[in-house]
Amino acid sequence: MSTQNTSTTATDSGSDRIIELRDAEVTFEMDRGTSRVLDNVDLDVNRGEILGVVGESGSGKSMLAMSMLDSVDDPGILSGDVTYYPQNDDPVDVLNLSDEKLRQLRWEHISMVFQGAMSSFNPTMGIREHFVETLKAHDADVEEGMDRAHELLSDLYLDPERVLDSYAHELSGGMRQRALIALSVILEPNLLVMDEPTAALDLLMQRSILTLLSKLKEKYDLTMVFITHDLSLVAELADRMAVMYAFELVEKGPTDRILYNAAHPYTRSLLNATPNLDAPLSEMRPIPGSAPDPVNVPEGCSYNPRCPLADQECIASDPEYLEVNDVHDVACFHWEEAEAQIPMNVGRSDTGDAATDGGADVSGPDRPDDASDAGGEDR
Amino acid sequence: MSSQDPLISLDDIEVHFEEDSGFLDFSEPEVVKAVDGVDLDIYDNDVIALVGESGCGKTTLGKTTIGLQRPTGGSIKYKGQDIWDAKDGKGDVEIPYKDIRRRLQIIHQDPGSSLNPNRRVRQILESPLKRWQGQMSSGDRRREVLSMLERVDMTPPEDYAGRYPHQLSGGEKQRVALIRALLMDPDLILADEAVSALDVSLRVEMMDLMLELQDNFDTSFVFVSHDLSNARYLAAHSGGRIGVMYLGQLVEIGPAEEIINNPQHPYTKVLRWATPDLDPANDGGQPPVRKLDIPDPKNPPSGCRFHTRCPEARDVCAEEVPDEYEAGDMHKVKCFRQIDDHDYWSSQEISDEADGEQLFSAGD
Repeated sequence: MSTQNTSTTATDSGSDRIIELRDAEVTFEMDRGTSRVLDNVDLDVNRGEILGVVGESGSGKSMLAMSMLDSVDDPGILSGDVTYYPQNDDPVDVLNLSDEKLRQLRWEHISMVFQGAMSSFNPTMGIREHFVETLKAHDADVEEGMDRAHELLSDLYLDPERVLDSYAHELSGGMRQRALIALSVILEPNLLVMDEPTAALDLLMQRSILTLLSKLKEKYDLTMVFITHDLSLVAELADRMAVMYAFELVEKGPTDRILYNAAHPYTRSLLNATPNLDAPLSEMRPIPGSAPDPVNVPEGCSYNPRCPLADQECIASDPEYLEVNDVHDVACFHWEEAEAQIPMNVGRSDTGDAATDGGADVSGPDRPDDASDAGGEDR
Repeated sequence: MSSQDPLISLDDIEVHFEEDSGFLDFSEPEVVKAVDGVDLDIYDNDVIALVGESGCGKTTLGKTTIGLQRPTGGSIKYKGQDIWDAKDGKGDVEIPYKDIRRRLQIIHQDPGSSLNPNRRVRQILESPLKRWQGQMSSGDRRREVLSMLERVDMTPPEDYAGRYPHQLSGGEKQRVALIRALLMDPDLILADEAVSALDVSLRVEMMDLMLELQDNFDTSFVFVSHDLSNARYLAAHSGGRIGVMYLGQLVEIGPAEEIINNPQHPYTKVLRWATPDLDPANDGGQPPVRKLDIPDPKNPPSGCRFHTRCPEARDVCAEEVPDEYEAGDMHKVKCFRQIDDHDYWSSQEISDEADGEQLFSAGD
């Protein structure tokens, strides 16, 4: 899979950005102290890309998703800046919108799909009513909208009439989740944020939904943020990836950079820990230790207690983002040593050579569809 | 594995559930065929990973192998003793049901709900010892529990022994459940999606632990998962087998690496496709099925049950039920394509332009 058009547009100051987070922080006051569940996150999402956000449970990835829609639940406090850039309009300061403007922004511009489709649907309402109510609530033309609903449902390999005439409990988990995806894009949003949209499903359905999502993205010109704990799941779908650890983004870059040339020790260890059909069995290694409690995040780099490269510097201060290259950022003082110190599973290193050559490969083909060509030499 | 007598032997097992159609509805009750005609032998020190989509019957089959689910047809034997005859006191019972029950244990998918929230880890772990090894002094029991905690890296063990389940992480709860099962000195443990709920980085650790304990305690494992890479990890490390289930039937079974690298059944190939790898150049392409959704198990398709989704299906697949054919050493598959001179090869391909196939090719 390819990277975003990095060479020209990405560097043009914000012209192709769709949403931008600066210093986004979410805190909860608790008896035990302040719980910081999102810590100083800077993130740009480019128009037309699929961004995969990978983090383990309790790493703050759902908070990141909710921050984009200013929908952090009370008593959580969100601070920082979230700016949404509509296609041909002035930038929107998401955190300072009136309730009514925010209501319009959600679903019409930025839409979200959560993990449990069962709890997203009202059990006493038919699926059709959900579509109709949503269209009405946003003053959209119902008839036109329902035509779109039919098309979306069949794009997702569902029988539109059968699904619309059902209640949520009458559908299988996979059908329900697809119906929810159709509902989330019924108002033709520009940005679709998905938080573990396939986690409760079995692998075949997860993979099939990903295939459908990449088609949906092309057809409806969507930008997608796909949040998951499963790195291997988004590896094929995402143009770019961002890796979360302990409420911070520790590494961001094009997918093939992250997979072949990960710079953060955590990313490299996570890749090595991921069960994989192609890697030799003996090469899979768990990461020792466990992720920190949000009330008690280690001083300095929050990964330092588990990191084989950690030294005094890592305990004393928290690393800022360092540039690996102009599209690849990492929050680690010692990223240059990571490659030698934490070797990757053999399965991937032989294909890694092509990408090591640097920028030229990274800014290669623009469209994910071209990936098969690019990959030809690897196989 | 050897030619020894099996520990557990399933013969033509059938588990059918009747679904209540509701009050004042006198029509025939609908029957869900969760498991249908499965033969399976499990040996000492054996590891079997059952994989398949949700609703394929893998958990029901797993529960049947440990005598938790009574089959509606066929027989299940533990060391030659029919488990349900023992339970019912039918015939000459050589091994009492109580002993069988103890030797066949389970670890659930959600360890949180299988541990009593009001009891400390020590109490949870001592109760099986009290029940089964009454002669043990309380000091010995205590030491046994602490040494087991230490063995699974829950150190300091005194600290963990004093905790309540809610004070443990998901991985730690799973370890406590694993120890509790092992303290019964079982011959076979069913691990039902025991690692699926864990984070990726913890899965390998938990699986390594299960493998280590399996080896040290000479226990057999039946591992149920929808994830082929977890199944492969466990089965390949222990020299075990992977069994692939589809709509209540075991469609392919064989040594782990054989199933991963040389899958024969088209459905196994589908599962192989569905297992993500970390190579972004390999974009996987279209799902190799004609339809995305699994058919209703109340009304499974005729012939080979996979024929409605199978990309290789021909007319004969809708009419005849495939037998189990040998595909290699310990490797069996239920597909006509195994037989070179089968009618399958001269049969008409099934095409359904009206729905599945057309949908999948649209847009490319």
